[in-house]
Amino acid sequence: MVILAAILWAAPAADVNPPRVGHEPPKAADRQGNWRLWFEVRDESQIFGAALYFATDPGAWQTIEPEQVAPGWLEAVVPATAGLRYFFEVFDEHGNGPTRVGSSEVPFVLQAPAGELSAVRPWDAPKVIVAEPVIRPWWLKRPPAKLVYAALGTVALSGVIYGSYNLLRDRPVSKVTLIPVGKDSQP
Amino acid sequence: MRPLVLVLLVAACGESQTVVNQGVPLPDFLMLDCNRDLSEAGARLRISGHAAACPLSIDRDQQTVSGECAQISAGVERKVVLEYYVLIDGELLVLAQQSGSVDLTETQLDRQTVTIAPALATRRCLGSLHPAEINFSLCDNDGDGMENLVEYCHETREPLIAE
Repeated sequence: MVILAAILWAAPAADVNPPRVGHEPPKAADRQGNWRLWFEVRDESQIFGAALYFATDPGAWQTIEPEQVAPGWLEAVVPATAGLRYFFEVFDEHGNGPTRVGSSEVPFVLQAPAGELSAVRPWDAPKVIVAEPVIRPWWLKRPPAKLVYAALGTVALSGVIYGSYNLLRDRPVSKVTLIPVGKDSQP
Repeated sequence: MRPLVLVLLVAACGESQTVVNQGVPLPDFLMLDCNRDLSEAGARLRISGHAAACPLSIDRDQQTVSGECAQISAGVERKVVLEYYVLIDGELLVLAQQSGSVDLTETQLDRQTVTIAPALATRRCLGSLHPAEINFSLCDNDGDGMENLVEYCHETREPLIAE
């Protein structure tokens, strides 16, 4: 019993979940006149058996294996024709799946391409927009430390000088002693 | 040497100098013949803004009135009156006044001289000093029109009795 528990404890956690797939049907074809079908596939294990089933109307289902174009992203390229039907399926290496988007019964159906496909790919890192540096007016900027210290020093020195002047200057007295004297005029 | 002589000469030919003496010269009336004893007269200094008069001493040998009046508040101009008086039956009889003034607005000395003018008032005496107000009854206690000094020294008159 203990040995079984140890084995279970030591064994890696089994992946029992099928892959998760995200897909957005295209509306525009690339310059070469192809549909580029992108599938975002996420799984805890390696994926396996990814396949795109497509058919023109009328026609039998054909299969191609999408290529990995970025981590977690698969791409399939098929001629851009209106009425193209397709669905996608994938497993993981543990056999979990298949996960399908669309199905043979209810496939994606593409209309005639409109416009040209953008060069931007969904797996591309989002473009970092560098914000323009905010230019603060001079009166909102912090003055240089040297200037602040100089101003503070000037204020302090002025205070010391003013205080010294007030301490040392002759100030009017509040009380006096009056001494009456006479005034004699002599030639 | 010559410039020094010139300076001395110019100084000697200048205007009359003002000499400040110690004390106030004693007025002549205190030396006159009087039917009553003027040697009993006292002197005091009244100062505007101060209720109490400041007693002064009369030195008959030196012919001066002198003294000091302490604790006088500075900051304004002070009018003063030097009063000569006698006491009759406990009543103060002002015989004469001399006035003066001193500006204590910005004084920086704690001892200040106040110059007393030589003019003597025996009738038009000042009651209130600031504002100056003549009070005829001050130097004529009985109000008979004859000033105290005259009545005090008169042979038959009584300064406290209107006749």
